[in-house]
Order: sequence, then structure tokens, then C-alpha cells
Amino acid sequence: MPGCAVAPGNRSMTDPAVARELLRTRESLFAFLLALVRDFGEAEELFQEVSLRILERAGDFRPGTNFGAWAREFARRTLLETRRARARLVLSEKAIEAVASACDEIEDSVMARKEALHHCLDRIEKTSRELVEMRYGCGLSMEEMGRRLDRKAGTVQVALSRIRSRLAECIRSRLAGEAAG
Amino acid sequence: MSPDREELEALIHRYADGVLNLGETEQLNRLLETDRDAARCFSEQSILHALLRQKCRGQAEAAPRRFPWGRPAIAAAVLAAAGLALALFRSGPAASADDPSGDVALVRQGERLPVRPGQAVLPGDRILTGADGRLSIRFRGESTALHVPADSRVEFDADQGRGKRLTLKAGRLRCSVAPQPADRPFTVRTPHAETTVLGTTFRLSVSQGQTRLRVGEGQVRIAARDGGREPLLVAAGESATADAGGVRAAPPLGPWREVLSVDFRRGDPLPSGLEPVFCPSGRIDRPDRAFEFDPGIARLKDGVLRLSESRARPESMGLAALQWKNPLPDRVRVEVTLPHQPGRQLTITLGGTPFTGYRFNFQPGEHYWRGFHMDRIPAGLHALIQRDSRDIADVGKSHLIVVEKDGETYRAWVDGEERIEKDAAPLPPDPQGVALTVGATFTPLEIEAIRILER
Repeated sequence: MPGCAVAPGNRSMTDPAVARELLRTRESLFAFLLALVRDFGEAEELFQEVSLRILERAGDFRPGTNFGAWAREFARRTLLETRRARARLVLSEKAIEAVASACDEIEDSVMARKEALHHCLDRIEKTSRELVEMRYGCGLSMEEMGRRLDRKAGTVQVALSRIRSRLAECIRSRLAGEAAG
Repeated sequence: MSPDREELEALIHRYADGVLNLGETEQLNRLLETDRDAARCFSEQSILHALLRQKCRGQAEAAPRRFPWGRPAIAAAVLAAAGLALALFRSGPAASADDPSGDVALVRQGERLPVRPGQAVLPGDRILTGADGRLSIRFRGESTALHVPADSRVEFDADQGRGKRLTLKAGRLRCSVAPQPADRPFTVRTPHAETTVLGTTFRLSVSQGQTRLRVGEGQVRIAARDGGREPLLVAAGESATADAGGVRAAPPLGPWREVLSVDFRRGDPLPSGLEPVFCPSGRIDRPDRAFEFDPGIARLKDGVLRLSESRARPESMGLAALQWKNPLPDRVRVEVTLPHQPGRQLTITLGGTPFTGYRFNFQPGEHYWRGFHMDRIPAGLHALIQRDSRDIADVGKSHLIVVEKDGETYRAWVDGEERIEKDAAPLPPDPQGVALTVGATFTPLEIEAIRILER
């Protein structure tokens, strides 16, 4: 219908509304950035940078389209413009596109996953929990954890990998249970 | 053949932990590009990775000030930034932010905005840096640059018609000022003084009711804010102070005097004044924590002193240190030379041991505490005081780390580049009489030389 189309760049969504969408999808956006650069501090800085850019360009977002996908495209472009972050990339452009697309599919389940994780973390043994906190709370590398625990870095990495697989399985079970219930 | 789910998750975890080899990287890329289930599994694991970070980091005692969610201040800043685009289209920028890092904010028309590289700094803007923040501000069309270190607050006058005018409200400011027109000088005010220059380098600091000026090149005119006595002309290499009592020239400082110098590269033994001590990590948070004499932590080999975990307690890592028990002078400098050792942390303390003094920590490599930071670890706590998380470049030769105490001002340099400058309150004397230590935190460490100077 002539006259009703929203031209790109026009303010088609108010800034506060975009900010609310940003806050709603923050976990998945941060997860996408972290998946690409892997460094917690770098991902946190990029998240803030991307958030600001999104707010500056709020008028470009078209209501009714997928905000998460739009934000991830912003994130991908921001990351490629940031030399330091770009240097960390080991995934190909095509792989990043595939990951962004897969993120779209699971975005709606993020809050349920968050709740499930809370429950699942309570079910792992204390030593596993400590390992998780060293990695994610203190941000230690495998080598640093190995030194502190007097174990080889590779041994620590395998142990941590198994814990995460158990957590992932626990989350899947809870989500499946909720879906069935 | 595609891996099963268990193998795929293990591969993704190795990627997330940064330990993939080249072949595995190629395998992961191929899988993500061609297998939709693999991409979905990757996304699920990424969400788990991020949620674990969010959950664990939210519970950590020493959480950083910069964090993307769960903090009302940050959420508010994100929401407040919605007005950013409009504000940027005001009058053309006089200057722009360069190389901001850490906790840095720009306040414009009452809105607190994070700072991005190249962002315009406009008349009327205020710049605030936190404990790990810093940035430079460069003026258009000339080489004038301001360097705003951590814990500082700078305000640009709304009216810049009579030359560049700004106010240092708190903290520090280093200025490198290109020649300015005689009728449009560069002026920095503080709560106590007004400095005027036509082209020079100098640094100002404001703390404890006093403004301090040190001039690197050229001359700076400093006058009391309330008029008072005649202004002073402060020349290169000279200093002045200003407070409620007016402006006065600071007495010149004498040269540094060496009180200890040991170079392990030339075969020097460990001097008797540097006592090797150790505290295992399991005791660090306990009320009875203490350092104990342990000669096994310091070994001389191949021209370096190697500090390592205690041989007597091979089960644990900990804090290994060389402690110096002479009285701590009011002005003291410690210089440590060491090879590039990514992931290894050098800790120098002033005013006591790592438990009782101020700690200065140097760590190259891609680790959480990369860069340089000043902190304290009173029992059960980690109190970050100032941080510079810029990378430590591998300079291809030894690093020189310098930590200096000048009264209540502490500074630190890495390879000649200033990383820390902070005023900090005097501490109670160490009960064992330890003045300073040089040591390693949780990691082995090789040291090539140590110097202690005073004046």
C-alpha cells in the first residue's frame, strides 16, 4: 500500500522499545559474541559496543522482523570492524553465518535454559562446581587452572568438558520434561 | 564421517577453551558450514558457556565494574544511551577520544555515555574514568593531546572561544600542548589553581585538598584560583603545589640513591637482605595466614632467579616472595627486570607483605588479569585499586617493571610506559617489619635483576 512502507533509516521503532528488545535478547547476543571471540573480557566489551551501536541505529530496525537476528548481524559487522576482535576469529564467515542462523532457532528457549541451568548446577558435585567457578567466575585459562590444581592443562580441560556435557544433558532433559508436561 | 554428539561437544568445548589445534579448527569449520545439527549444537553450547559466565561472574566477590548485565547502573546506561545519536549531531567536535580502555564515561547534557574510539568530545562534556579506565583526547588539526588516567574527572568548558579551557576536578591529567595562539592559551583549572600554557608538556594532579603541577617541557604559569599571591612561572623539571593557602614552588628532589642492586645475569647471589618466604594458597584466606621462611622457593640457575612453589609443600601453589625488612623510605623505587613470561604474575609490594602492603601486579599474556593492576588482599577480600588491562607486548628483550612510592602517591611503569598512578592512604606498619617484597603469585617466575632506590 503506497505511503505505508517504512523506509530504511526512518524511525520505525522507538529507542526505548529497541532498548527493551536488547535487554530481552542480551543473553543470546552475548553468547553469540562469546562464541566467536571466546575471551570473556573481549566479549563483554564488544557486547557494550554492539549495544550502543544498536541503540544509535534503532530507527533501522523494522518492527515485526527478528530483532535477535538483526542484532547478531550488527554484532558480526562490529566484530569484523574491530581489529583486535577480528584477530581472535578462527571460524570462517560461512561458519559464523551458520551459527547465527542456528542461534535464531534456539533464541526463544534461552530463559528456560537459564532456569534449567540453575537447577542443574545444584546437582553437580562440589569439586565439579569449583572447577566451573574457576573457569567462568575467575576467568582462568586451562593452564592457570592446571597450575593451581597441580594437574595437566589437558586433564583439566577434559574434566571441564565432561562437566559441561553433563550440564547440557541435564538442561536438555529438563526442557524436554517441560515440553512433555 | 560426522562425529557423534559426545565427540562434537568435546570439539566445541576445546574450541571454547582455546585449545583446538589446526586440524580440529578445520574440522569444526567444515562441520558448522555443512551440518545444521552441528551448528545448532554449537549454539546450544555457546548459550551454556555464556550463562555459566553470567552466573559464576555474578557470584564472584571481585566482580569487575564493567559487566554487560545484571547491574542496574549498566542497564540504565544502555537505556540512557538511546539518546546518544541525537546528541552526536550537535556542533562539530573540537576533539575526539582516542584509545579508551576500561571504565570510561562521557557525560553529556546529564547523560552518562560509554566512550568509543574516535568519539567526539564536545564543549561542555565531562570525562570520568574509573579504577581501570583511561583514555587520551586529541584535538583536531594539531598535536595537542590529553591523557586522562584512572580515577579522574575532567570537564570541558562550554565556552571554548578564548582558547582551550578545561577543569581537572579530581585525579590526574597529563597534557602535551602544541604551540597555541598568544591570545588563546591552553588553560586547565583545578579547585585550587589555574594553569596557563602556550605550548608545553606537564602533568597535574588533584587530591587531598591540593593541586600538584610537574612540568616536563617549556613553562607553565600557575595562579591561585582566588587570586592571592603573584602567579608562579614553573620551568621544565620543576614542580609547584597549590592549595587553600596559595601557590608555592616545590623544593627540588635529590637524585635517587641505590640501596640494593642485584643482577642474577652476571652471577650475583641472592643478597641476605632479600629473604625468601612462602605462603601456600590454601592458607591465603585463613585468619592465621602468614609467610614463612622457605629457602627452597628461590633457585639460581642459568643467570636467572627462579621463584617457584614450595618444595616443602609440593601439593600446593601459593605466594612466593623475597621480603626486604629495612624501614620503608618515604620515597622509594623498586625496579625488577625479567624475561617475557606469558601467564606468569610478578607481584611487587610496598609497605608490607602481599597481606599487609599495596600489591603491584604485572602479568603478560591473554589471561584475565592481563596487564598491570594495583590492589590489596586484606583477609577474605580482594580490593582492586587501579587497573590497566592493556596488553603487555613481547618486546623481544627483558621487561623493566618500576614501582615507585612518593609520599602517598604510587606509580608504576612497564618498559617506560606509565601504567599506574594513584594516591593511597598510609597503611599500618607490617607487624614483622617488612617494607617491600618482590615475588610471584600462584605461578613460577624468573627474575633477572632487582634494584631498590630511595631519595
